[in-house]
Amino acid sequence: MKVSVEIAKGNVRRIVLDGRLDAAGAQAAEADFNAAVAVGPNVIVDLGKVPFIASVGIRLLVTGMQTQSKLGGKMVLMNPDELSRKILKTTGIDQLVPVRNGLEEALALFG
Amino acid sequence: MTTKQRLLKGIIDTSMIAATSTWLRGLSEEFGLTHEDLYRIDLCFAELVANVVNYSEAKYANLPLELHAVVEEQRIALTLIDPAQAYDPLCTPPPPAARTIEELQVGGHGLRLVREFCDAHRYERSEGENRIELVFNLAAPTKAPKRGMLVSRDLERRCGAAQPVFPLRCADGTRVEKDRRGKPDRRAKGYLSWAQIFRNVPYSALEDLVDRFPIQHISAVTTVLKPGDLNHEVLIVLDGRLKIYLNQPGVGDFIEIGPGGCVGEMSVIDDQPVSAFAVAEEGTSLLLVDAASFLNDVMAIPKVSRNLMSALSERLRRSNEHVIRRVRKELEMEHVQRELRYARSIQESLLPKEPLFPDDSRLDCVGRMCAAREVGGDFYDVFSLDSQRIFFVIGDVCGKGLPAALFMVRALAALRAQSGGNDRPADSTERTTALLNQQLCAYNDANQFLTAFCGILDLETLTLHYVNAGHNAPLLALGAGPFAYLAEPINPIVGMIEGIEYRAGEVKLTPQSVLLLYTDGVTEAEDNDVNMLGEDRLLACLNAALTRKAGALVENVFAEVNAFAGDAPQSDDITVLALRLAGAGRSKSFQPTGSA
Repeated sequence: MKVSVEIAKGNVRRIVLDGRLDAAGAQAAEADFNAAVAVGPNVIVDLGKVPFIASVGIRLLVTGMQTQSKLGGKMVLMNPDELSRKILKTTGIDQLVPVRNGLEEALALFG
Repeated sequence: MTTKQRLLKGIIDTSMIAATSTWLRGLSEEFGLTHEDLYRIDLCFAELVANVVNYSEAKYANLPLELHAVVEEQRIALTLIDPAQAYDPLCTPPPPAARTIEELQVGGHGLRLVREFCDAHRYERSEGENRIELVFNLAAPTKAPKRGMLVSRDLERRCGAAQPVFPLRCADGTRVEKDRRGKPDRRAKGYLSWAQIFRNVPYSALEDLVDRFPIQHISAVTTVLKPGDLNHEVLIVLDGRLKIYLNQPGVGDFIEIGPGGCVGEMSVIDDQPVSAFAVAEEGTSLLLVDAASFLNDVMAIPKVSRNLMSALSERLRRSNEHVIRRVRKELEMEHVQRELRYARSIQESLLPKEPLFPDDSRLDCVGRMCAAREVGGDFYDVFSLDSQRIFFVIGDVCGKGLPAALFMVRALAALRAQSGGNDRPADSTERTTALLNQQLCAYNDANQFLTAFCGILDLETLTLHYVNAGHNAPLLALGAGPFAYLAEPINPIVGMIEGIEYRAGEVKLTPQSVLLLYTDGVTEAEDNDVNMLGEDRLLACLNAALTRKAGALVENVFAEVNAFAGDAPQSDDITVLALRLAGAGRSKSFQPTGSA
């Protein structure tokens, strides 16, 4: 599981997760992901390369969302595949964090 | 296609989560599952296995964990079986719907995902195991798995569809007037070359032979052999499978014999009765070869004997490996147990040796510690600071077992390293506790802490200075009066927060006074109904004591705990330390007051 960060636009950072978000993957990503989220407000989490999300992955994303909220920022999830989307829907996450396809659409939410 | 079954055997350990995923992927490839179906199954079992691994009580670690798969054409049913504490994951209520990010629960989503993504689920608790079955209706029909055994190329095979012309003349001169085989039987026997026992045997050698033997088709689960049967047949599995159970058919471990395998050959060879249950599942076909034919005709084919011997020798080898693994595991366990017992004796030797102060008639002091496991986190110490003052302490590290023991050793060492000094006793106890706290806060990544009660008793002035750092209030009896809890002042626990200033208390004692200290293993001792012994009962026990000799009081407390707990296991370390001042004129005898 690899975590990489780049500036998307302005102060909005894009965190790219590459790998399965299962028990092992979430554990491997935890430290870097949490650090990346905590740097400052406004992040886009790119799930395009995440072929599998288990509940531990949900836990990781929720923790990130709460950190962003405390920083006064917003988290947007980008490019989940169809099954990942279904998981976000089943757990009710998609009602609390915006989910978009494509970088342009995701950035549009940051005004 | 007939139902296929697959089994993953593992243990309750984090590695099982990834292993399950990998195994499911293999299953998906074997049976041609769609990406979506694999995802659903993978997800559901990632959650369920993680649940077992993360929430089973520690004593279940490394016990077997199994995943059974039953694969049908349009659906797959998987059952996870674990021996941990009874728990139905699917009766846990889902977390409440959150309206804001702050309200969102971080965990608890996994089981909701399982409920959503499987098509049916069923939980059962039987014979000390949790069995949770999930059923998935498949998007695409499963493809039949490839038959495992390939015929080798140098085998003489029947090629083409050339029909035999009757009457036939056989190699041994006999004639065959007409085709003796029925159509389905012919096909079944054609596969005989695949059988392990007939590997590398030219089909022509088999052909005549097998026509003589009947084929049994199993339409419902049937026990075809049971222990004690005098068996006169070898059963060769042509299709389906036999499950061999040692203890009871349908219960527990079994060995699988698939197409090509055979059973009964051992009892036909050695004439001993059958030793296990052989259960045939629905859809199995068995070729029944009677003993005489097997021994005389089938075994006479050279390669058959050889194949039989390899099969038996492989079974023996596997059985040996199994035994060796079990023995090795037991040896490892024994080694660990031995080390823990050794550690216990080391820990016991760290505590002060009885009798304490044998030559000092001013003080009668007895202590005793009983760890719940081999090693524990309780400790006590008593030693002289100078000719008239003694220092004592009783402590309890949070938790039990090895981690608590390690922290306990640090605490004891730190306390003993501080010598009394010439401070006023109040300052001394406060300083001692503060210093202990400082030292234990450092190098404490595991965030351990302990509670402690320490004090300095002056045997000439009969003054007691003490510091209670989060510990249970000890019991004090002044002179021959009744016991009461010495409840104040209270200070925080030791080891978590730096820089705490501890406040000492002071009491002037009289001859024959008794101070009894204990750890919460006493007051929180549980009986089988999970009631706790409690402070009131401890107080009553001490006030009812007939003699106040330190040793007797300590024994009384332990006896009370044993009587209360009955056969409920000891759940925490138990420690008691009693200090009794001599009477006026230094006599040790106790005169009961008669009232109080």
